[in-house]
Amino acid sequence: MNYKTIEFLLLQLEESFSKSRSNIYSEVKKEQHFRELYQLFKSIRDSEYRRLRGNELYVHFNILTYIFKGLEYLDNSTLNVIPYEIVSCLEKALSDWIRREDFIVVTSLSNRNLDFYFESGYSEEYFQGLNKYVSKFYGTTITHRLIRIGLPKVLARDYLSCVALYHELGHFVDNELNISKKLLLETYKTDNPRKSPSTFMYYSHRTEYFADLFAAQYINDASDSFLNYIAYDEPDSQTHPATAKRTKVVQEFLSNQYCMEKNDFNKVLKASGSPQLSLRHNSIDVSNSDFIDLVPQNLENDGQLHYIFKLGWDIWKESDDNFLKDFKSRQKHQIINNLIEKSISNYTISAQWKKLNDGTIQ
Amino acid sequence: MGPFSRKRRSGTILKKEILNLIEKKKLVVTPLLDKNQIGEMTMDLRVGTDFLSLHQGREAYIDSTTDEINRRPIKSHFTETRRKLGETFLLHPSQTILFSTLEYIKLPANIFAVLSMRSSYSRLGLTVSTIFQPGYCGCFSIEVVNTGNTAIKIMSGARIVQARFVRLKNTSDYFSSNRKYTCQVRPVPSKANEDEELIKLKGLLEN
Repeated sequence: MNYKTIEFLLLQLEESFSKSRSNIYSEVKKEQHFRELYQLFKSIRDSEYRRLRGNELYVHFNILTYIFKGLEYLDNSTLNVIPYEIVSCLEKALSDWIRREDFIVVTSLSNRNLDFYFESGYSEEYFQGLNKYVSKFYGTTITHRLIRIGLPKVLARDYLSCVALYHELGHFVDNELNISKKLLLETYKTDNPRKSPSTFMYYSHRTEYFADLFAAQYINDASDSFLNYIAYDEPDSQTHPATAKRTKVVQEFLSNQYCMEKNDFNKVLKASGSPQLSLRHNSIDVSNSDFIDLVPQNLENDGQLHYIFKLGWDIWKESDDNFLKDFKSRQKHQIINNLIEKSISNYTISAQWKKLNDGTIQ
Repeated sequence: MGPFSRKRRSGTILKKEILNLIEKKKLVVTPLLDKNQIGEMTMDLRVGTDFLSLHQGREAYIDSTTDEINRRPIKSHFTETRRKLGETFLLHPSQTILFSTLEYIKLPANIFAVLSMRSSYSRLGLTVSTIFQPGYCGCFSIEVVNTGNTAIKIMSGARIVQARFVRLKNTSDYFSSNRKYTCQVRPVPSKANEDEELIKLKGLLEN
């Protein structure tokens, strides 16, 4: 690698910024992040990067890649494209676990069907290191870390499918708090999942169980319902436990039976002073729900907000026999999605309005 | 009708009755951020967060006569955009936009709603003309045209239209026929090309 690589990346970024500069985010943190990324880019572009040598070149390559990634997610997180109803639910769940103010939830819309993922890579350690470096050499810093969530473009408004994002958020929380890594260390006396095939499998399966239980705290078994659509009866693999095993663990957790996986995670969480895995939703009885009258659910608290996805799934699964039976299949799906979206937005808008009138927001 | 039954009169219903219907959940308006939205004979409704604006694309015209897969759908003539409450949207002269009301509304089976601009906005040159049938449920999707020659900035969440509720003597069954716009929460482009009758009409030429 030589300075021409850096120059090449800078030119690509120049082009990228020229397109992204007109983005409108409607969120101060995102605007700020954009400005900070641009400031960092500008500082490097205007520096004497041609004199960079050895390791400095690699460091700069990584910084510029970091800026690229940030821009990619910001581009897909403008108000026009970000599915902010689901993101607002995820942010509430997130605040149970980490300081939300330090993060920005951003999305990337993928063209691939069923492409839900949480993109890891930039840990707290990396972020601190990056800031230390750029502060020293360029006198600038980045304030927020990004929680990067990918979802299929065509399903961005499909709330029945978006339950997968709670699972993905679970992966993020696991990564942040190192829960599965700590379990690996306890069991195999190593924190390197790639040490052997068995450590990799053990670690990967813990991460999936944690993400499943994390999601179940908020949306009950809605995530399982989706899992059964996309991975019905899948056997054990190196990366994922068998679907039947995952469903069993979630059912044990939800029915408050002995659940070894939950107990293992909670032991580690307790030791590190983090919250415990517990039920964090309030059920809504289908037969008493407002959906039956074809109106949005009047949600009373955050617990019910998360449960709205489970309500949607329960109604969808019975939609050939329940109050939706006379509608066409496409309409049933649209009606459930629309009512979920409006229930969420009514809840958040009413809460903001109340705060405004109480004088708690200016 | 027995001697003790009270016959409800048809016609525009007033504030007291609107409030009464809302309380009994016969008329659903959600979210109703401020009860002052209910006036003596109308209810103010707010601009929602989603907009569709008609643009000129590569097609010379909108084809409302066919829904075939090889033709551009009507929705491709619209640009979808979102705002948060408190943000603004600019309406250019002669531009048609669609937006949804912030309020999701379910009308009783014997009441229809007539929408008009609040006079403060009609005076700016904005026009609207829409009726919603008894039994309708969903956010009202509203077409607004800026008939003036000056662009107008409107705010998401502002009370821009007013609904007058009119009672009929008899009830009607909204779902007795296939409904294209049920439970909509975002503005929906015209589905004129999905009318099943269009196929029959084309059949006239083939026979």
